[in-house]
Amino acid sequence: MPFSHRLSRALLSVAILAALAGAGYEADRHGVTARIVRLEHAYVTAVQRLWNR
Amino acid sequence: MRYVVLFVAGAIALCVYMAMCWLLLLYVIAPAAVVVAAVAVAAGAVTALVAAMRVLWGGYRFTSIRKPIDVANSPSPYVRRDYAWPQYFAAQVKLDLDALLRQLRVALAHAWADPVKVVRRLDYRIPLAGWPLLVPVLVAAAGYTVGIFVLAACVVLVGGLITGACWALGLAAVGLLRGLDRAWQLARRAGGTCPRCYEVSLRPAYQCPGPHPVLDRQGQRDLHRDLRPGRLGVLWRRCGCGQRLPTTVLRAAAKLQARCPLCLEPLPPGAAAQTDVRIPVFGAVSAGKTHLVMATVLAMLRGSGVDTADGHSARTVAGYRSIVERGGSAPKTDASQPPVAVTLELRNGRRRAFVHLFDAAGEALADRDQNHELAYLDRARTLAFVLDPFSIQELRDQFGVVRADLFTRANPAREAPEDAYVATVSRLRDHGVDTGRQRLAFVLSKQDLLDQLLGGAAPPPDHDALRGWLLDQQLDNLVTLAERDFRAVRYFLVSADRAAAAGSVTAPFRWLLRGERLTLPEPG
Repeated sequence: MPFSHRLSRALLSVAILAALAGAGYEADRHGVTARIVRLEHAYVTAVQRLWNR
Repeated sequence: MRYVVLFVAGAIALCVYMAMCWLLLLYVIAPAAVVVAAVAVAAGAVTALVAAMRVLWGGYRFTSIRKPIDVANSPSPYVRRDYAWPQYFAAQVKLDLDALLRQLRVALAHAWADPVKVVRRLDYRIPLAGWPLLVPVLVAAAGYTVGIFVLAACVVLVGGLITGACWALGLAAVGLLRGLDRAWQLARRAGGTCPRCYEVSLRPAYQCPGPHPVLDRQGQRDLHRDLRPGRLGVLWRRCGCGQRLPTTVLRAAAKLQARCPLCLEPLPPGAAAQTDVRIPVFGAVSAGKTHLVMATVLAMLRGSGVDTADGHSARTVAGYRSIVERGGSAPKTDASQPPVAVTLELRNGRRRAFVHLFDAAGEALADRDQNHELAYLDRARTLAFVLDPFSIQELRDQFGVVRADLFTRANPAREAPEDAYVATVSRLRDHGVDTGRQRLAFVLSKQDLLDQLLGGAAPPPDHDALRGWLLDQQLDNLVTLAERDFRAVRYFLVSADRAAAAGSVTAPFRWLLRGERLTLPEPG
């Protein structure tokens, strides 16, 4: 396989990882991560309440 | 009574079981399922990412690779594809995507089929009784599937966007480079004329200089028949042997050996990128065509910046020189052999040009079966018609008897000038050639003998005077035909024997080349 193919694949993999990282960063910036954490916290609290009943 | 007790006990046991299930679902399974779903989605995403990276980093050995041999062997009824690596984004990216999807299909099959297999191995009463425990398994499989789909969609989207961008850029670059290539060829009137089969190719085949095994060379795998930018490479292409080759005819012409795409005869360096002028010389048998070509070639070679372009032409010129040194006459051109083609390379500063002079036997030109094969006539923008003044009926009637000695020395053409002209021009018309776009040098040969015959009444070598003289000799029909058929006609009177002294023999060709924006250097 020629070097150009290996280079193209490497660029493609970097682009995919960068896109995922970028999507994660953007989600975090727009509060999506915080919302998920809040949902998880609410869920754990609800389960605890259920057990305690 | 016993049955009633049994029924009540059974009902109580069922209620207890249902209550247990409800409690299990509410307090264990439901909270666990949420956690399991989250973990499964993450696992699916990681699986898809790892599968993609395995393919892209070369860790997945079942990825199909589109190799040069696949390209060369790909079935196409129209083109013979070259032995070269295709561009990554032209073919391999699709195969990589297939490899990724194959891995994901296997992962999904395992995610759904493996739990089913485990449950099937158990006693049927266990899953029947412990069915709530199957819920997290189902949730895990579904979450894993969602994770795989989401990340695979991301990978396909990113890959698709990059591939689309590469195609858009590549297509623009391909269009631009092909356009530049063609524009250069049009501006320079470039072409590659084969010295053997006379095929004129705008895209010669180029021989890869890389390390090809003998079998490759025998199978012509080292030949690249279409080096234009495309799916095998935009700026460069990689031959199957590993050699990097430039695309575009312009760049390939400077670095690679060009060959005729039909007969594979080597073409001179720069073929198809430099100006290419083809000048067929036609006329009756014994009109003096070969003598004219011989004298012209030798006179042109005396000028600076003119040289033979290939070995075949060098051998022909060496033959001409030996004839001149011996003081002999040009031998009669063999009608059974292909026409003699001499290719000269002209250098005007940085500009180079190839000039091909074609000399076919008069019999071959007159015979419809033979002249059908003279394909070089079809692709010529300039032609030279040679007329032997001693074949003009008017002169024959007037001097044929009183100056028989001169007529014997002149060895005049027996065919009427008009017949020789019409035979070739009809052939051009029959092959769809628009002669109205061609230029014709109308050359009267044997000037020295004509001067001896007519003395002071001989026509001066001047266009208008010659035209008038031809009209006086009752050749008005031929003159009218020539001026009607061709875009431009100019009359010349030359002597091949006086060529060494005067250099006037090159005048018709100098005029023809001026029309091609080429200046022939003066003989030294």
